[in-house]
Formats: sequence, C-alpha cells, structure tokens
Amino acid sequence: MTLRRFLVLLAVVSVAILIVIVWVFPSDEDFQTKNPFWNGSSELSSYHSFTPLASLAELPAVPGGTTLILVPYIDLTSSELEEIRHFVAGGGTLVLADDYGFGNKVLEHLKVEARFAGQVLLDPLFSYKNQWLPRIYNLSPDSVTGDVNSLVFNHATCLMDVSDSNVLALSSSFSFLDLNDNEEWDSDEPTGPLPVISQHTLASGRIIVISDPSIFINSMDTLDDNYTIIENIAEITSSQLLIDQSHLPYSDLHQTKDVLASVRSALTTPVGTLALVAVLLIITLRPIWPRKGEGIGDIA
Amino acid sequence: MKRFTVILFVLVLAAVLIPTFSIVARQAHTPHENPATAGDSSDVILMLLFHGDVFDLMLSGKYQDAQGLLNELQHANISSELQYVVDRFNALSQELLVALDNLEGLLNEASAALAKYQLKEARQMLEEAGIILWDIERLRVEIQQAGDALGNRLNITNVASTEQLRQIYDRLQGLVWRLHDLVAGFNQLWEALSTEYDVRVAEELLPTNLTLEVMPGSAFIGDNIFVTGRLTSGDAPLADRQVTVLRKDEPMVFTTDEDGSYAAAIGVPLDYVSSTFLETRYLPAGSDIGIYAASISQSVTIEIRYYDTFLEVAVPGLAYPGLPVTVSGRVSSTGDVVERTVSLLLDNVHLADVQTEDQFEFEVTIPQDTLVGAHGLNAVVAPYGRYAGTSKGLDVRVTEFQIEADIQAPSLFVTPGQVEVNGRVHIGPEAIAGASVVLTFGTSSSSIVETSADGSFTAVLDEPLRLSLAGPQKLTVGIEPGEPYYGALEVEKWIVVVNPVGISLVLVGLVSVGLLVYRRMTTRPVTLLPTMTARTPDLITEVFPVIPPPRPKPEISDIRGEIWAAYLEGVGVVEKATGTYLGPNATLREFLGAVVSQIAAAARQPMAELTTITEIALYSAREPDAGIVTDARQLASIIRKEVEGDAA
Repeated sequence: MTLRRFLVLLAVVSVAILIVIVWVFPSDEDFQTKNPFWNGSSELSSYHSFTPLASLAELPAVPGGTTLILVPYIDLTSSELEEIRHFVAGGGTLVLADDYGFGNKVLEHLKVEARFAGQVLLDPLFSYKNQWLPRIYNLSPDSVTGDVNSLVFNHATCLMDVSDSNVLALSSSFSFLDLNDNEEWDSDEPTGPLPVISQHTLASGRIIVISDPSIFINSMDTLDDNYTIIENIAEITSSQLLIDQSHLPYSDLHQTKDVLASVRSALTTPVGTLALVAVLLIITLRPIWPRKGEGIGDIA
Repeated sequence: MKRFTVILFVLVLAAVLIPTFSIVARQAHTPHENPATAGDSSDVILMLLFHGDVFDLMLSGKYQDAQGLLNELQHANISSELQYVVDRFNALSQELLVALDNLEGLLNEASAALAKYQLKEARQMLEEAGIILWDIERLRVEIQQAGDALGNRLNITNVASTEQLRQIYDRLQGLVWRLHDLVAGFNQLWEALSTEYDVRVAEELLPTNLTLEVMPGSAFIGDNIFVTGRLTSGDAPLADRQVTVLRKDEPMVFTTDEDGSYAAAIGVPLDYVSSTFLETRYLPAGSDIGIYAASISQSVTIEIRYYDTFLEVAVPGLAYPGLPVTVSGRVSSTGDVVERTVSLLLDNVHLADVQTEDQFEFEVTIPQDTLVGAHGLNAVVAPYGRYAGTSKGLDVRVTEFQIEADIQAPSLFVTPGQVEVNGRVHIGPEAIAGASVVLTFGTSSSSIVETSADGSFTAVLDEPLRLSLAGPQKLTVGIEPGEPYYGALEVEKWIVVVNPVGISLVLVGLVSVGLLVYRRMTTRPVTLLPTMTARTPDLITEVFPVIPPPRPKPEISDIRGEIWAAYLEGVGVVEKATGTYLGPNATLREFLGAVVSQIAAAARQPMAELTTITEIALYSAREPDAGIVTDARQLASIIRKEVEGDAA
C-alpha cells in the first residue's frame, strides 16, 4: 500500500469515526433542551410540556394563553422583534430571561422602561456556596412567585429602571452590582436590595423579566425553590409553553450536528438515496471497471 | 504527493483553529457555573456585621424588626466550620428576642392592671415576667459565650485591632455586652412594678361583692335567658357602676341601677354544646380607683338544649368524571320535621345543595377534571336554629371506562410509500365518536385523525426512504376520547419494513466484491510471472488439453521464478506420464486434483507439497525464502524419480 493510499484511508476512517462521535455525543450548549448536562435544559422538557421553538416565526397567530421563554444570547433581527411584539400584544406571556445578552434590545422594542444592568450581581452573604450564586428571598406575592421561599441565581445581573409596583423579586441588602468586575464592593457601586424579577404589561399581554436565565438549566432547578417558579410559569400557561432555541449559544458541535442531520435527511429522500447508491456502486466497482483496451475484470 | 500533503496539513490546521475563533467571540461575562462544582466561600465579616445590626435593633427595642432580620440569616452562606456556632448564636438570639418581646408586653400589661387595681391579674403577670427575666439573663450569658466561641473559631485574638474583622467582631461583642444594660433596665422596671403591687395590696380598699342569677337554668340554643345580680360594698349598693357579663369571648357590659342591681336578657350562644357558664366582673373605674376593690361573681352553669341531627347517605362506589352519580339518603332529628339543607362536597370542593325534610335523592355531576383514584365525598347538613348540624364522609373511587380499539395495519411494508392504518374505537358494542387518534410510526411519521360516528378512523402515514435494509418498526396508536369518562388508550403494533433500494445496494455491493475477489484469485498467478504473456482472452480453451500447450519458459531471475521452474519440471514429468496437461485456464490446485490419482502413490505427497509451495510463492505478498527453492527442486526430483520409476 502506498503512503498516499494509506493517508486517504486514514482520513476516511477518521472522518467516519468523528461523524459517529458527533452524531452520538449529546448536545452540550447552554439552555438547549437536548442537552442533558448541567448547563442544558433537558429536564424542562421532561418535567413539563415545554415545546422547543426553532424560530420565532413559528409563534402562534393567536397567542392567548401561550407562554414564550426567551433567552436572547444571539442578536434579534427587526422582524423577530416585531414577531415578539405581536405575540405579547396579542395576549401572550413573554418570559424574558437574560443577563449579558440582547434582552435590552427586546425591552426597548417593547417600550418597557426596565433594563438589564449587564454587570454581575454579587452577594457575599446571602448566597449558595459563593457570591456569584446569590440567594433571592425578597419576593412579592404573585402567581409567578407563589409558594417560592427563595431562589438561587447563577452569575446573574439585576434590573434597572423598574418601578416598585412592577418588582416581583429583590436581591438582599448585602448584594451589589460589580461594575468594575473586581469582585469587591466599591463605594460607587449600587447595593441591594436590587430588583431581579419584574413584570410588565403590553396591551393584553404580560412580560416577566428575569435577570438570570440560568434558573432554567438542569443543575439549577433543584436548588431552593427554582423548580417551583418554573412550575408556576407552567401553571399560568393555559395553552402552549414554548422555549425559544433560536437565540441560544450555538457551538461547533451543534453546527456539525445540524449539518449531519441535513445530510441525513437529504439522503433519506428517494433522490438522495439513489445518488448514494450510485456513488457506492462507483466506488465498489471501480477496481473492476474496464479501462481503455481492457475487458471487464482485466488487470494490467 | 507534495501537493496532497500540503492540502491535508491546511485542512488539519483549519480544523484546529476554527473552534478557537468561536470561543473568542463569546460573551465577556460567564453566564453560569456548575453549582455542583462551584467553590465554597463565605464572608465572615459581613455575617458579623449582620449580627451586629440585629443586636442594634434589639437594643433599640425593635424586637420584631430584629427578628425579621435574624430570620433572613437562614439564607446566608456560612462556612461549614462556623455553621454550628452561628446556628446556635442565631437560635439563642431568636429565643432572646421572643423573650424580650414577651417581657415587655407583660410588664406593660401588669402596669395597666395595677392602674386598674386588678391586683390578682397584676400579680400573675409579674410572676410570669419574673420567670422570663431569669430566662433572659440565662440567654444573655449563653449568647456571650457563643460570641466568645465564635471569636475562638475565628482566632480573633491574633487578628490585629486595626483590621476590619477585628473591628466588626469587637462591635458585635460590645453590643452583646450592652444587653446586660437592657436586661438590667427591665429588672428595674419589674422591681418597681412589684413594689407598686405591694403598695396597692397594702392599701385598705373597700371590698365589693357581685352576685349573679340566671333564669332559667336550662334553655334552647338561641333562646334568651335572664341574668340578674347586685353589686354591693358591705351593705351599701353601688349604683351606676358598670359590670361585665363574661359569656365565652363575648363580654357584655351593663350598668347597675340605684339599688346596685342589674338585669338583662341575653341569647344562648349558637354553640351546639351541652352546657356553658356565665360570670360577672366589676372593675373599679374613675373615682372608684383606690377606694373599691375589684370583684367577680360565682360561675353559673347553663344547660344548653338542642335537637341532634342524623344523616344517612349512600353513593355508588364508583364514579366517572363528567358523569352524574345518584346520592340518596335521609335526614332526621330528635325534634320536629323541618326542611334542611344538605351540601355535597368532593375533596372539600362544593358540588351541590339539596333541600329536604326527610329522604332525599339527587344527581350530582363529578367534575370533568377529577383525577382517577380515591376521593372523599362529604355530605354536610348545616345547623338550623335549634337543630344541630352534622356531616358524613364517604369514599368514592373515580374511574374511567376502558375503551377498546381494533387496529388494522399491514404487517409488512415496503418503503418508501404510505402506510394505511384503519381502526375502530368502541366500548363493547357502543362506538366512540370524536376521539382523537394520534398515530406515530417510527420516529418521523405521525398523523392525527378523529373517529367518525361509527367509531372508525383511517390514517395514512408517509414513510420516507430510509437507510436501513429491513426490520420491525413500531406503530403507536394513541386514542384520547373527547368524553372525560372514557380513559385514554395506547396500542402498539410492529410492522416489518423492507427497504428494497437498500437491499439492492447491499446485494450489488456484495456481488461486486465477490466478483472482484474471484477475478483476483483467477488472474493472480499469471500476473505474478513477469516474463509470461497476458492470459489469452480465448475463454473456450480447454482446462486440460490433450496435447501439451505452448508454455513460455520463464527467465530464472528471482526466487519465485526458480520455484516456478521447479514446479514446471515436476508438472512436465506428470504431464508426460498421465497425458493430462496444465491448461492456461487451470489453477495449480485443479491440475493437482486432476492428476493425483493417476501418478504413483509415492509421488502424490511430493506433488501436493510442490503445488502448495508454488502457490505460496506465487500468491504471497512476501518474498519467499531462498531455502524454499531447494525444497521445490528436491520435490521435483522425487516426483521425477517416482513417476519415471513407476513407468519403467
């Protein structure tokens, strides 16, 4: 076997192994409902009838009773923002959970005054394990916060420009917004209690703003009453409970999986399968294919 | 080759670098960390500061605020080494706050009682306050010790006095020490009130006497009874004084007339109990304070009469969501026959009311959303005047009718195409119309249909071309009837799916590989001989011709050639002896098979060995050893000797 042939064979085998690994290995992106790891949201779909939404264009035309959970980690287009506005104005409930993404763009488009601060909210005293996991126990009674005694956030931020009547949850008095990321409180940094969950209305719709989407990941829903608030969100939903997947972090693994899925679906069409048959036949029969001046099976 | 290597290198480099670029593009802040593996860290300084704030509020007398603040500490992140001491510190602080709150309340009440010359009550309160004071002192000492223990755990004596930790700890300890002053203040107040009590007791107050008579001693519930009595001091009546009739928790105030008497009609409370008691109390007020002592009448017991109510209820043991059940029963009492209201509750949720004087029978519909399982049905007869109420609880099992489905689906299906599934949903002979039928075939095909009036349905499922060759695939039929009293049903069937395209592909592949192998096997010996000409395409040449075919002599240029020459030598002897010739299309093994029975027995084994050696030499990828040549020549020599000797 020549070196060239060996390298080609090695490359083909490597690619085949990689394809199998990519296909079999579960998704590991944040908040993905197919991700069973600590940072995924697979348990949401197992506990509740959460429907992953591949595109905001798939939002229902009559959104009454429907809840959309949106974690905008990828920028939204104007048409997508308009889809969201139609959804809320039509009576849908939007749960906008963000910390360092594009949540403010959504709020701005919906003409809601509240904003995500975009800096880390730290709580050195009232926390789970460390100050990046602040414990939220100042909660206003509401259908969303019912039966919730305390929540644990994870690398959260806080909300700004929220009127008192709209606040559903506040951080503790010992929390602060770490504006300069030095992990310590400085005299010019705002201290708690700071709003972390608020609710707003737009026409007949409702907007619930949460300053940390991490409460929806698998490793967080067992802490304190995080699961209860998810249950409450499910209970205020009389129709569909949608979780947007189109604005979540997109890794190379995910992209590759998508490509493989596209290839697979293309191959399962009659044309694709016939093409595959043809290619495999050519590869298989190539060694015995007659060359110029030879009969079938002749070898020079 | 060089170009190929360069392309491969570039591809590998790109594969390594592309993920790196995407990581750089991620967010500046970490969106989250795994809480299971997150590092533990707690801020002791903030915890001490927080406790200081609690004690600050405590010393300001804001006990409720301090308690609220202390309750928040359950959410604090405290390191495991300090957890026990801090928990104990919190528990003691909480206990102290409750005790201080109670003490303050008791001392205030005792002061008010003394002011009204309620000396008996005042004495009770002061005694109770004395016990709490003792307890508070114990708690104060324990808190001080817990504070010291916390300091030891923090190794506070080795912390410089200028450091923040030391300063905040010293503040907390200072506040704890100030508790001593707070307790001392309460002690002084308690002593002052005790002294006042002694003074009041020493005062020569005029005793008062209060009588109470109730007529009649037995009455129906809701009826009026008459209370009369007289307030005197010695023989002198006390006129225009307020006396309070204590009737359970409902005190009623009356004013004495010139004779010191009072009289009133009061209703027997609507408590369906066998008896109750009344008593009257006089508290000096206004100018009477410091002159007359308070007094309380003797207790008078009143027998309360009412009619008992009896309830009999029967419900079927099984009920169905959305369907009515018949509830029957009878209400009776020890009194006259009157109309009563019977309320029916399922799991404490009101279902219906019915008015009845005796027997009743009515239908009540079980709510559609009632879950299958055991439920509690309560029939409640409300009290009505002299008639007491009653209730009866029954267990009801809510269940659903089990529906059946006849599903017709092909057991074998050739893909791609459409699978037609027919069925009928029924319960016994009764068809179930309007049921939602969800069909799922494999992982990608699904369909939702509804049953018609006769309970039948037809669904067509598209099955695209798949890569699998053949195998069973599950058809799941889920049936959800529209009526809540019918249970859902799921039926599974296995259908063998055959993919002719895939099978053809594999067969073609296998045939191709077989053909390739066959060709290689049959053509290899010819190609390995470098000096032999290519095999003639004359496919009809006999395998074993009767005359020797022209056989080109190989050039003995290598080991393989020498072995081939030795083989040809042996073959030549055998051909001459047997008249069977090695044709161009015959394999060496075929030739051996053809001649082995015709040659001398002693030559058969050497001929077989020579054939094997030659085959190995010709077809093996490895160059044969030089020693094999000698073996081949020896074998050829033995064959010659044995065959020619036999012929001679």
